[in-house]
Amino acid sequence: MTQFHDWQSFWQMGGYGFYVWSAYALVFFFLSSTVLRTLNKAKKIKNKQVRKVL
Amino acid sequence: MWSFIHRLGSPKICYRWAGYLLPIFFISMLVFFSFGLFEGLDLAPPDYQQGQVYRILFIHVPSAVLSLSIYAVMALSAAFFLIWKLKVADMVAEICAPLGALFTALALITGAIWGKPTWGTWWIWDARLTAELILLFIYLGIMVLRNAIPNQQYAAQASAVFILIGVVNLPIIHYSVDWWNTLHQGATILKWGKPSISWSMLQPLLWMLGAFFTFFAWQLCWQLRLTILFREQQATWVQALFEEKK
Repeated sequence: MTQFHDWQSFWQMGGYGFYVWSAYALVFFFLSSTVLRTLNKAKKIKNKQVRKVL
Repeated sequence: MWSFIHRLGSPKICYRWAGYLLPIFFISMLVFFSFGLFEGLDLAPPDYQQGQVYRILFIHVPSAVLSLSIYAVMALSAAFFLIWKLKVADMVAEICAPLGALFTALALITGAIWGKPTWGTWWIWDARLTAELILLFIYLGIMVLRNAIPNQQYAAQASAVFILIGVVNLPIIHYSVDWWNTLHQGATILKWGKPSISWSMLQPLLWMLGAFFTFFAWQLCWQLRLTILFREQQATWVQALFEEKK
């Protein structure tokens, strides 16, 4: 069963909203930036190889 | 046996296997994150002492567990590289270092954010926290060492030896809460006997553990394929691969 009756109490997290959401936002940011870094590396390697073949 | 290990560790076979595993890990990760975040942020009841702030532990604990597990994977790869001279093992060790540093940093930062409202301080020189900070420095040291040596073979050997020396820190981190009087709580899940956590809280934690592990496995497979392409660019099979794509 859900623990929050409305969105406001969900965001407030019983008065600890700042701590909870900043921790989750940080994890989201760092995991996303890892994915973006890998994507960028993939693009670079593929472009380099394709240029070499051409 | 040796020929089997060498065949399994061939870059071409690893490239193919990593390609098969990529979508499996990616889809599993999405499923685990969906269940973990929904249950962890909404369904799990508040803690009777900490209230809602304990929900940070659903990301802190997986980060901390992964920081140790990645080091174990990296140490195994380093040993494989030193014993059997497998190029792929060195590639895995190289990929693991920044990922391990990332999860160690996340464990420390989310722990500090949880510590402020719970312990009343962002940081304390507690045995568990200090040992985890040393782990971060070891990860960073491995990355710096690898980049500091221009010869790839020497860099791989030196970092493999460094990695194996650093293994001594893993049991220190795990048992620090038993060996010293620490502010950090004792083992909750990874201990003998029944976990001292309610099932309603353990379930989202397990989902999140699954999500973080599959994220790591997905990134490892993806980055391994890229590293193989980069390091084996002169190999005929890599050139043939790009000829096909052209």
